[in-house]
Amino acid sequence: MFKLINNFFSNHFLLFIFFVICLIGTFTSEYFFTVTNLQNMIRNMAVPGLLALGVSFVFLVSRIDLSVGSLTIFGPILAVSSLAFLGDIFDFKVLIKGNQYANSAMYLVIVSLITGIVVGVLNGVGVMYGKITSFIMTLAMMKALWGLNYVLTHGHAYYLQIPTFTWMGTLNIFHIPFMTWVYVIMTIIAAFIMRYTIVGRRIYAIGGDEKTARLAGINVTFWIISAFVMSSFCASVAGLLFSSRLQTVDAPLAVGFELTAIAFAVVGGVSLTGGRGSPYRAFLGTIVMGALFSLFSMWGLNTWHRNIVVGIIIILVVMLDQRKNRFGRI
Amino acid sequence: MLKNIKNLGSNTNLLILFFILCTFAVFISPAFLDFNNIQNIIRTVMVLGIIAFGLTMVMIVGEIDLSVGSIAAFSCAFGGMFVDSNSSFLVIMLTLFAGTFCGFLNGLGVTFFKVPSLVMTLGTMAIIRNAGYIMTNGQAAYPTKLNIYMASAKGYIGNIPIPVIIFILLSIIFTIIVRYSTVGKSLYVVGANNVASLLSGIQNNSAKIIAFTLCGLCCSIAGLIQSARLGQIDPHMGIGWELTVIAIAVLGGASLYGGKGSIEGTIIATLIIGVINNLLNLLGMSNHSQEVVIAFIIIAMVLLHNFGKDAKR
Repeated sequence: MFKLINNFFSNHFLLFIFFVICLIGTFTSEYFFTVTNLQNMIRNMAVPGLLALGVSFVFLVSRIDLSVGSLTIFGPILAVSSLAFLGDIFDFKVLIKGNQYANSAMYLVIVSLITGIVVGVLNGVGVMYGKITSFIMTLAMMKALWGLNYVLTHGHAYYLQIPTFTWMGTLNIFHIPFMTWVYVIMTIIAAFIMRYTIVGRRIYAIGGDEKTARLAGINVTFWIISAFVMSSFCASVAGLLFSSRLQTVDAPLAVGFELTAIAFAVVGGVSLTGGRGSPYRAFLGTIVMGALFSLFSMWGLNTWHRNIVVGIIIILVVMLDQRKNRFGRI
Repeated sequence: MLKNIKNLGSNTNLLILFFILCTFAVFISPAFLDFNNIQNIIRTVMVLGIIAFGLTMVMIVGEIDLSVGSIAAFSCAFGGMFVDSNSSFLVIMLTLFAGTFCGFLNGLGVTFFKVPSLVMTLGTMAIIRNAGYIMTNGQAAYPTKLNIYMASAKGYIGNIPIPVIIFILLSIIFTIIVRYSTVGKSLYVVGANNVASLLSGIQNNSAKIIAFTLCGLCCSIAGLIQSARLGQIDPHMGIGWELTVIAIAVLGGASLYGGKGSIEGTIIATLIIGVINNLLNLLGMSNHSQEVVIAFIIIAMVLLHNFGKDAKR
């Protein structure tokens, strides 16, 4: 019995911290425990949470993906600018005055998701067939996409105020924002896949020991490429939610998201060396850090102080994790 | 003689690329070989090149440093707080001290607290940069009255600009340190096989701390020159430098797994990046398309390197 409680406590330690943060928030600020703030809090978790979910797949196979930040907005930007290009050729209207996008939302969504998958395949192929270290491959991809974002937008923002698209950023279902629903459902699907299907077993096997997995007849190349594809897919979904919330895509927007994503995943207990962690862990990291960010803004701390605290937390968490294997193993 | 050529080994590809690029540039624009243009190339790229020296050493011991841009900004901001003293010497010394200290902290975290360097420097990247913002309230300082400080970027000795001289001097110093000194050799051993190095009596921890500290020093020198060049000490300086610098170091042959890389390679890689930027400018390409081109060149170089290695086996 005691062992069971102890086990529960060590596995869900961060959940406990999340409640402590919420309690502190409730006692120190009268606005923390209001519907609006809680809605904001969970809505702001969705985008970095999806990115963290994505990179945790790549972490599980002991690789790293830095390209998610640039990819987040590359999808919508590519969709808008490619349709504008086609519109010029075939003479139909895509952009009306002031770079306002006025065409199908479906096209935007489909092209973004396909872009995400293609970028993931490119990353994976570069890492597995080109034998480029994942750090370098995704770094180069990030720089390339970052540059392309500017080239395609010519440095202007595209405004996406079409009602068929922006409902994603504003709609609430049962008082919970649509963005959060997407995030939670994707986390549940990912958790199911990783726990009960062959995909999860293969990926954990590769993360545990790649050589052994290869000798056991697992198609390591395929599964690592698919980890990259999952990461990029999550990033492009995050990009759609992000741009529908802001009703804008602009090249300088998503700078630094990859670091936030890595921070969230690492705080949740996803190991950078592979094989340890799960979508649930990424979720825990996201809710803890999201609650912390909300608490900081309640206290009126500015971004500078907040970033310092985040930096210290990342280092401390990993340090404790190295010292003793405190967060258990899934 | 033959042996010397063989010693160039991994750098041959780079040298070939460098000469191809230069020839190409000369054909495109005769202005390329102009003394002013060459000066300009070195001036623009040397800031990142100096940081790349430090990062090469960190990568040789098998670690990575993402906090380089933050250290450059923080150390300059720290020195910049004392601009009113009107003493160049004080400001420069404080800048260099702050950079060295930040590098030392990184090293301490990686060795004694056993935090993987990727996470450690990711954390310090945020901490150091924002500490700089808080310290200066996000406002720039103007060192225009400090003559020696400004001379580090704008002065000339004879016909040659002082920053170019600094770059050449630093490249010679770091080449000697890494290639010929005991410390430099121990860096390679630690990076290649840290168990073997421990067994042969090298202190892994101190080697790593030395690498990180020197990297911090390089960052502060680079930041100092950049601030002097712009005439303002801006705590927002250096955002995104880490990526370009890593690109230079990797292009120069450094490996993320440690034990590989050399300052000579980094020097050539720095010049290659400078020439590419210059070439693309001469072609009239925008800054952002240049990023894309450089990303492709990095991947192409790494691929070439990998397949060359496979062919040898």
